[in-house]
Amino acid sequence: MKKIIVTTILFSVVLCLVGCLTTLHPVFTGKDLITDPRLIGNWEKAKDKTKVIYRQPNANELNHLSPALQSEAGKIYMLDEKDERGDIRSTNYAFMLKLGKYYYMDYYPASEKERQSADNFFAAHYIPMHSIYRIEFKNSNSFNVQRLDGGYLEKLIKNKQIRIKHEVMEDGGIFVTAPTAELQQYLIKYSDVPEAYSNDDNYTKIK
Amino acid sequence: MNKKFFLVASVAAITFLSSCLTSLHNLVTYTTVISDDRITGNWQHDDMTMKIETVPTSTFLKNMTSTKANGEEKKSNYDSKEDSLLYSRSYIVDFAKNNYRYYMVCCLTRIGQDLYADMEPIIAEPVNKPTPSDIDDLFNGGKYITTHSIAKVIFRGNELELRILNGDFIKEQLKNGTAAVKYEKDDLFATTLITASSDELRQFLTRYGNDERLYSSKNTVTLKKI
Repeated sequence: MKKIIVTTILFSVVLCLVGCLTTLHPVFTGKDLITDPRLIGNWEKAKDKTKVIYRQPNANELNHLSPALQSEAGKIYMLDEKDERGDIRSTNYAFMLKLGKYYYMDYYPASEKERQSADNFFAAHYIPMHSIYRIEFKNSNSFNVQRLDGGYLEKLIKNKQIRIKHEVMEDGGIFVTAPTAELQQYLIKYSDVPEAYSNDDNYTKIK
Repeated sequence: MNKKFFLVASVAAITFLSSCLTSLHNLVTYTTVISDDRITGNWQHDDMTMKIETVPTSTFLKNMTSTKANGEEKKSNYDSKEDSLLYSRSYIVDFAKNNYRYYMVCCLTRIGQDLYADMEPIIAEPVNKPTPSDIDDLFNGGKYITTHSIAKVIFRGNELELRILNGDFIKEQLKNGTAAVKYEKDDLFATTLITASSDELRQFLTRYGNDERLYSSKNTVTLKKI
């Protein structure tokens, strides 16, 4: 029944994070965070003209984070995704880090709309997940993001080709519970394996 | 006095969230689910009305079944035989608050002499949506995993008491290493999640389910039948 409910929901909304590697733990520690001033601004996805904004968090958005993260406030970005009408569809915290020779983004739901609207008990059942992407700037006006493919890791786990902490869900799906260090090892080890990535998206800076 | 009462109720509701600890896995499976239709009906909690129906007869399932996907009528409401066995004996909890209608699925099981409920969210949608088939889930804007809360269920006359596990107490026990239950904790994002399997959750409740410290008044909701 749950699958049908989820399927029904997905018909009416296009989630940008579907299929991405999602994890319970972040892929970074506070000391791993870095910044790139080129990221701030308005961007358009080449594929479907989706518009997104990278910006600095406001005080309220920072207040929802742990003291350890608040101390890294200057290294935290916010990602606003707009729908076709130009309204903000979702807001995520965006954390940038470098592992080996590549740069990565860890997106985490900011949940402002949910926090304001939802019943507290109901909302407590939704645990925000980290969605992992690789980012590469071509120049100051364009960058490319590649999604870490959750399906690829799932296949490695099911074929017993990797040892990474996880839970097997009721429907046979994999829920990655690996701690940060283990996730970073995975990213480094598979950084040059093309199958570990999917959904190449190019973004161009707009005014 | 009404204002005072409302303020106390609001504070209690906010505190309630902070002490809620949820489980990745479900407590109740198709082999352990039971029906107890005393739970069905309309219930009142403070100024909120809650409707509980069996899944097969619920308005929610009827609405979902009538929604067409890809232009095709759905053949079954369930994904598998196990799914069918579980959900055909379960309940839909439906309530409205802050202009949103919330739906949860509630599965019951008996452990020893006690009755327990496993509750999982399904969807939160605007009360005033343009058409019944429009779906605008409140939680569609980010990546979340839905988890389960567990409550001891006590029927007392026309009252239904849901004694939800006391997250504060369990977190304290986890921190001290004195609770034998598998979990994950992320300090950077202040996330704690029970990851024990259905069997392990059952064993935990068999052992500690009657320990009063597992429950608290702020985590107890009393519903009155209307």
